[in-house]
Amino acid sequence: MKYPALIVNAVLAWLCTTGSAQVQSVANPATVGAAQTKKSPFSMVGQLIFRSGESYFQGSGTVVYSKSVLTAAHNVWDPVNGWSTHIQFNRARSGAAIASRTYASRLYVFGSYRTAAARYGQDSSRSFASDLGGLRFNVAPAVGAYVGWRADTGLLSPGNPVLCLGYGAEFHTGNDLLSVGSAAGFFPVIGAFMESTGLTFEGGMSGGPILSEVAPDDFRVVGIVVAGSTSTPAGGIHALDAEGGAFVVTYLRY
Amino acid sequence: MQTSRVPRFLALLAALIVAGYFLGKRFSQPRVFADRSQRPPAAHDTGSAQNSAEGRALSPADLLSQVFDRLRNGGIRPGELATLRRLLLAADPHEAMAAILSFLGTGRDARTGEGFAIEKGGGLAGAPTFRVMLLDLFGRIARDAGSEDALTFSRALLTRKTSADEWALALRNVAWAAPEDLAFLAEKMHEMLNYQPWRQQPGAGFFEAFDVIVFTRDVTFASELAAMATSEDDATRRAAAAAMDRLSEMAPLDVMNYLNGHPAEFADRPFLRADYFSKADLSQPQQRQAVEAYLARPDVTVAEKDKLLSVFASPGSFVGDTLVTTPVAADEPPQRAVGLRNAVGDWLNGNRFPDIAGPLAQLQQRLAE
Repeated sequence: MKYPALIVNAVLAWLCTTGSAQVQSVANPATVGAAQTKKSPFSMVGQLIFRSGESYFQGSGTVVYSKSVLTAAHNVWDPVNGWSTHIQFNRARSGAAIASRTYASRLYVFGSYRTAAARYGQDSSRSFASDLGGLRFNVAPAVGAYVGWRADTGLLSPGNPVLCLGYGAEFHTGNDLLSVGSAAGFFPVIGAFMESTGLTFEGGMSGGPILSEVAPDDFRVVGIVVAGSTSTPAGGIHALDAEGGAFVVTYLRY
Repeated sequence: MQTSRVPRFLALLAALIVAGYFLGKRFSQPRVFADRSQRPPAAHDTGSAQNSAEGRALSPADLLSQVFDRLRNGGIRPGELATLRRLLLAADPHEAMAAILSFLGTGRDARTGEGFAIEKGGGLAGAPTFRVMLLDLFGRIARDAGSEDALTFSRALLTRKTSADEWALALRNVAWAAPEDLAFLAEKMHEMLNYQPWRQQPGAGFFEAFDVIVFTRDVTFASELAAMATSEDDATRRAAAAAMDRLSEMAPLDVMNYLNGHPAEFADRPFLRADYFSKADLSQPQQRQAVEAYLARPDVTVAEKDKLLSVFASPGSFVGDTLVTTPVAADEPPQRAVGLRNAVGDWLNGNRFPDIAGPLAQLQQRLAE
């Protein structure tokens, strides 16, 4: 047992002294640009403005069926103020230009009494494991067009490039679509909550899509942005697994 | 490597070599675990792995004993618990139930390494302990076989405070086998909510049992839920607010009448209270009267009434897998929208609620879109 321990320790010592010199590359969200925002799948993403209590907040969402948008549950409900109201979906917003503005007519939170947020607290990165929300509209936000989705967590594993989109309002204006990509993959944390230390998200991107190109020019939503941290670079997502897929099919197929 | 790092590297290397020598010596010794049952196995039930017990045509009792022993000594293999579940569900129901009953009677238990996870239909996809897993299987097998064995055992279990997870399963088993016995379920649920050790350290089973409140449609829980909705514990606040929302959806008239009759309940969570009135079907005269009584209350602020009208425009629902109730249907009955439009039109035309005329006009406009 002694010699393997010595070898391991030598490697550890080397890493301790050189670790600071080897900074892991972390991707940060950047503006997509007005022209790109008008093209699919970017054009199916929108800015969400909603009221919770007496304040207004911002998030993101994606048109996944003709009259439905997939987003994060914490954009839709919170335990103090209840259901969000006046939920406005500004599709393909770029600055002041908005492709369409529609108001949600029906809200859903996918989860149980014990969500991961309930177990770990709002401040924990693990808070968002069951964080999936859905919106339905009386008017189709994209005149019937939508981006497809796929419940396949394998598409989030290392080596599979993904594109994460949303309207970040922390370091950007919140009125422009941001994008951050990575092929580093996400690792499972708890339930459908997965994390990556290879990228960061901004506040306001919550509910935005994680897109995977399953075939040339065929992008599918495989998860949504739910948590982020810039102090310790990390991005948290809710992967679209079998249960999430069942939720989308049952409640958002409109 | 930079020159300044060389001495640091050598010093650290020397320190780790010394530490490694002692650690190596320590790990060369056989390790003894004081209580192996407390070591959750790193096993995940994939259902794909075969286990040695499967091919041997063991009786349910032998199967239980064998898997439990391996769980206790840390020798459980991936997929073995899934295989056990499958075999017990496929076995002769009376033989399986007898084996489960016999095992549960021993009081023995072990952690499984799984979380408390509910699947469609109220069965467990994951159980944190062997006993909770067996209570789940007992209820499922008994339900399919039309047996009352699980009901009898669960009622007896509910006379002792074993664990919140076990109580959650026992309550579910009673709800399945004796759905008419709402008084018993409500009594035990009140008992569970007020048992301080569970209340102070609530776990998954404690929260999932809130579904029993919704199942009973008993509005007397509103008082306890209101208190929990302002708890210091975020988990408790969240579960209480969600359970009250679902209870309001299940029994809208009873909840609205209770809240109108008890104006202090949820007064410190006005926007949540407004949500609970949004479940009303205004095509039903009694429900419409209850909403009108609420909108006429002087103790309710304009901001709270405005919230209700805003939620009428875009109502929300919790959906997901729960222990005993079924989630709401995806489609709304059309008469509900008609009832809302008619009521709003009448209120505006008759100037029934002048303090909220503006929000009412906005709602009317939204409904016309």
